[in-house]
Amino acid sequence: MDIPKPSKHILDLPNEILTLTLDLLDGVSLGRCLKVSRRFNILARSELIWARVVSPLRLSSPTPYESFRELYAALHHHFWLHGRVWHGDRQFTGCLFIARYNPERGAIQIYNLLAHSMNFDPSSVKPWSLDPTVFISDIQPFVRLWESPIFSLTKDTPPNAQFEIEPPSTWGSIASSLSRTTVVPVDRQVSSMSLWPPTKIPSAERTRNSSEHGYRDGEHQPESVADASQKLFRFRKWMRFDGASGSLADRLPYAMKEKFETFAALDSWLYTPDERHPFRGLWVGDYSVHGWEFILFHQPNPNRLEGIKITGDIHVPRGEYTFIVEELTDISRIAHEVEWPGAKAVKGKGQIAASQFVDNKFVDIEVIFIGPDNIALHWLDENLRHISKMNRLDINEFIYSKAAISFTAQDG
Amino acid sequence: MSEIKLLSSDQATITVQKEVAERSILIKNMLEDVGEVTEAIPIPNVNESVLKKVIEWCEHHKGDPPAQADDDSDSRKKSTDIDEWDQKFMQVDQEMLFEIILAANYLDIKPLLDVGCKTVANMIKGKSPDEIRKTFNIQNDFTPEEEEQIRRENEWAEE
Repeated sequence: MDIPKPSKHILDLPNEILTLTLDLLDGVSLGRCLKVSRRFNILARSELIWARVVSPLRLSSPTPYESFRELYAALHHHFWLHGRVWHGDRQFTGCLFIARYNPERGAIQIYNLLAHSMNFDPSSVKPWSLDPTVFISDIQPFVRLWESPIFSLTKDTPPNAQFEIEPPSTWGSIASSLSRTTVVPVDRQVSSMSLWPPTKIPSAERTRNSSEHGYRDGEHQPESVADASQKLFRFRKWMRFDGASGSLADRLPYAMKEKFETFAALDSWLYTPDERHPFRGLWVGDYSVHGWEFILFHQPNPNRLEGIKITGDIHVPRGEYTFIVEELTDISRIAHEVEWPGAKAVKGKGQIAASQFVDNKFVDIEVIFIGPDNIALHWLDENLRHISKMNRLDINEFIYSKAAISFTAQDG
Repeated sequence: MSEIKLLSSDQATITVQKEVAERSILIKNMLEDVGEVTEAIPIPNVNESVLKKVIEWCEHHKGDPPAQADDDSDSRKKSTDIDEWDQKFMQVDQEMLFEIILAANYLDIKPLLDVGCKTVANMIKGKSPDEIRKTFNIQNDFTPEEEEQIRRENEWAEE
């Protein structure tokens, strides 16, 4: 009865189907397929597949590497960092890093994103036409990546056995490293725990950001790469005492020898606007004497807007609310003043505090929506009496454009 | 609902709803070309047991919305996720798995081909080259020189 079936084997599949299959693999699995057999090797070398593997870098050419496969082989340890906006827990001020590929160097680099004022022009502060006792500050921010990267990561900077990457130091006696960390499972997070990112910012992964022992105990250190978070890392800075006498090093207090900051990646949906959440984004806001600060405009639902400080100052630090609009549909007035005729305004609460975030409280504010990328914040508190501006940042420009790092091409 | 008949490579006749059979673009185009058919449509490359299995899949997925355009980078990232029913469906021996893939390719049932490729990709993922060879019974046909060169070239993907 039974007709013997011809027994099918994986290598009976035609090349097109095997290629479709290999095209579903991650880079490391694909790299292992190269070593399986001759046919696997030929198919798994396809540059079309490797171009897909490195597609998050948005490149049209693998230069300075010979192929996309070589590019991935060189950088695969560091790929998880790329394309992300990393925010750190530095005391009060916080810190914002952008990790991106530098095609001139063939490296994944981490840059500090900075905002400062252009040269101060007194005419940029003007009285408001509706109330001359309120001043509008119209200073423009200058946002850029700092000239030299904090880290430049290549195949020559692989992580060590403890998953710590220590690139050659660029700052003389100050060394720094980046290390992988574990995640605190949601069911073990308790309110007394100091966690990063703060719970105001949605994130599937959080880690502890305080440790008595320099994060060297087991609970902080991943056992394998698979255990390490791809959305968190620790940044360590310490002083080198090469050639200095041991006694000097011994006399320094521990805190001066070594400092840690914990960084978390902002999920891209948080800063990507859509039709129902048009304000989502990373914005830069004018905080007068404190300078410019980066604010996450978090729209948890279409009606609510929360401004959360990604970088902050000694009064209202990073990780805290700067303002909240409970109901975006509650238009309080349509502006008729000459500064922004026709703009919609809503009521909200803005947070202020004394130095070191003491006596923090919310005061009334008016948020004026000048355009899709610009708002004005009118602080109604009698001690403040000013209107400051906030502008949306084009984060992808800093991640993908060559121009954002063109200066690094010149320094040899 | 109208029905049509399919004739497998081993001469078995299987009756199936037209709507179900039309998950196969090959059959759909054929029916559009010839109009009404009363005799069984020969499927010369697929035997009865495989054809029945493929029809089982088509039955379950007959109401699926048409496939969306690929190349969406987000869907590519989670590309080896398979829904639960399909996972169970694909719990077959390797011969049957490859037969289903070949039949899906021949009959032009893109979503079934995708599920098949994802199943194979998941069997490769996370394995060392030697484990991959063992899983699929693949001969290591490199010469010792080739093997040494390939090992050196791909040290980065060490297991």
